[in-house]
Amino acid sequence: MTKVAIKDPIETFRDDFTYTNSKEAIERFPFPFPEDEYMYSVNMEMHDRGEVGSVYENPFDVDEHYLSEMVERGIVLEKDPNRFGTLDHMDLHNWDTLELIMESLARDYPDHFSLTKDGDNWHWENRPMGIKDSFVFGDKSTLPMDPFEYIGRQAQGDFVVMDQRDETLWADASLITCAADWSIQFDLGMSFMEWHGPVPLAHEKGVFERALKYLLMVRLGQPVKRFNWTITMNPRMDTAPEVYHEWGHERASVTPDNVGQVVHLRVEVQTLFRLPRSNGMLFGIRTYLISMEDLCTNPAWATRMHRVMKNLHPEIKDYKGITRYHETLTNWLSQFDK
Amino acid sequence: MTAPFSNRVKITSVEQITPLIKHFKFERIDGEPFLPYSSGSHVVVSMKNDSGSHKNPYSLVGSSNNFMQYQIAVRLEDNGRGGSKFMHTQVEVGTELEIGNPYNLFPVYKIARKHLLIAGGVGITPFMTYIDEMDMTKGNFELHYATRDKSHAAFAQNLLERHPESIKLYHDDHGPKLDIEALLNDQPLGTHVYVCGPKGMVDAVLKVADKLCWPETSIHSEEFKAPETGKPFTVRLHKSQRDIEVTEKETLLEALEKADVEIPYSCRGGACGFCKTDVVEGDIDHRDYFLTDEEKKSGKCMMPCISRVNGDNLVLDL
Repeated sequence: MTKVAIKDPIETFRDDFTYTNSKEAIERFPFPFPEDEYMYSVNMEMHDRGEVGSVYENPFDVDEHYLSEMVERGIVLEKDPNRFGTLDHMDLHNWDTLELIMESLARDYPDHFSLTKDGDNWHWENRPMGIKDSFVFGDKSTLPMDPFEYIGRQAQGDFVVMDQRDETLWADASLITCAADWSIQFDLGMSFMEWHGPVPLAHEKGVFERALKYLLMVRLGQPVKRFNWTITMNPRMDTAPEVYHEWGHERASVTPDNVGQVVHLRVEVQTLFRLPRSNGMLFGIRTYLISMEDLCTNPAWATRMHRVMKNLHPEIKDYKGITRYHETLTNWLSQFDK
Repeated sequence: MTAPFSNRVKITSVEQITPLIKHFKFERIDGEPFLPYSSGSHVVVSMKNDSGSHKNPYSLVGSSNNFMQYQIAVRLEDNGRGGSKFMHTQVEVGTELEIGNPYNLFPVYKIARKHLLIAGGVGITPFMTYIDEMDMTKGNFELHYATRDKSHAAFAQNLLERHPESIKLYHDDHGPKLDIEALLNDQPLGTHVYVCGPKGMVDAVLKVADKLCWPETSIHSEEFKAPETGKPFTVRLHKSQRDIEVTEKETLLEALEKADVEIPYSCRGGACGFCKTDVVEGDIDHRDYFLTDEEKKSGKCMMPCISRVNGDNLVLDL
């Protein structure tokens, strides 16, 4: 079991952007490209316990940015409470989610979290955040907020809780404060195919049809994972369309001199867990950010990153918002691929 | 993090609750709690005895709040292939068995305005956990439960005591009979119907719902379909170049398992899709609900838990 040293004082993901990765965080960064060319695929695999110290060691990864990301989540929710939303029929799913995350964190990070149960009377301690709460499992009135929002404010990464019906999955509850340019206020209540509607190329390839069929059969205790990625200017977690005016213009700020510091690879380790009591699914979107400068301290990653950018399909480039600075970035990366 | 796929369990209680149904309770041998599960879930119970091995799916009927214990109810099937007979004659307190993790092919439709549950005989079993969920979510439901007579109505007393207003019993030997058409004709918009019982009952509900133009997505059924027997045949495994005999009484999946060919499975009744296997050659007798008509026609895949072959030439891509 790895002991996590959580950074305190906190780092910022806005304004002065004090977020940085330690050497250890760079080493464990989940670099997502297995090949020199990127294309959509049904890239799903079992979410088994991975190597000690890796981001896959535990089902829910806690890292050095834990407190900083929780503060950032609080800021976003304060400004826009609608980043959390749940439909009326999601109570069971939301309790399932609280249970799954609490049990995982308490088991995997006993220094930081503990959960004790006496029947339905539960006691939860989150030491990094200074939280100690007793509540009755299943009784919403004993928590200060919805159980999903409560635990979501204490776990890194965004979450969508999905109901399964009509042979598809419905995004019926979600807590999204680090969206890679998608809006949960727009997507809440949509089906799997609806909310993936804007993605180019993948529909024609039948990727979503196959992915959905696979997801519907995900079993209890057998979670799966996949990667997604994009590129973000500065270490900014909240790139939601609702605040486009705050970050959209930064795409024009890339110059040959600042690529290494400004441009960040943003990787989402997406996990899917069958929820036991509700038969729903928890979709975790755990975001990791790394500057090009830090990424290129690993020569293999630097070479691969250059080739992936160079070979990137124009439609994906557009969809991910890379077109504007693509040339500057690729030219800069070419120094590592000689 | 993956949980073990199966659990070693020990029977802690056996009770004959109707002339044909026994109620079993069991715990994990390692003393750990089971996984929580959703209403309508089943588990596959693995049984081994002198006459071979059986793996049968049974709905969980226990309270969804006590995870130290799982419960199932098993009806003795005269014409079955031996699994229920094994459970009835050879399983007693202390017997050790193996069960898989729960899986749900018959979930509650969470946004239904009203849940209309129709059970026939042992088809009551998945509804036991439904009613727990209705209690918890204060769901609007009715249960219509038909059995041949009062003595065969498993769990009826308990259910009636809990929900005298919402539960109606019907017996073949006396009293009013379940009139499916009248029942379905008199439901508010937004009602979902769920039926679990013998084939005749499931077919009748589906037919009436169709006739009354119920939306397809508002109709849910679980037939406790056990694989039917068929002619013996030999299956050839293309990749491993082996020949395996499938006897009259066993399914293709069972024969493959006996020969140590591992194939993922869950429902063992042609519904879940886990055991889908590629076919190289053979005129398949498709008996499942999972494959699309197109896939069935293509002849390129089959569900070995329930389907067989016409004739005796079958080559699988294994």
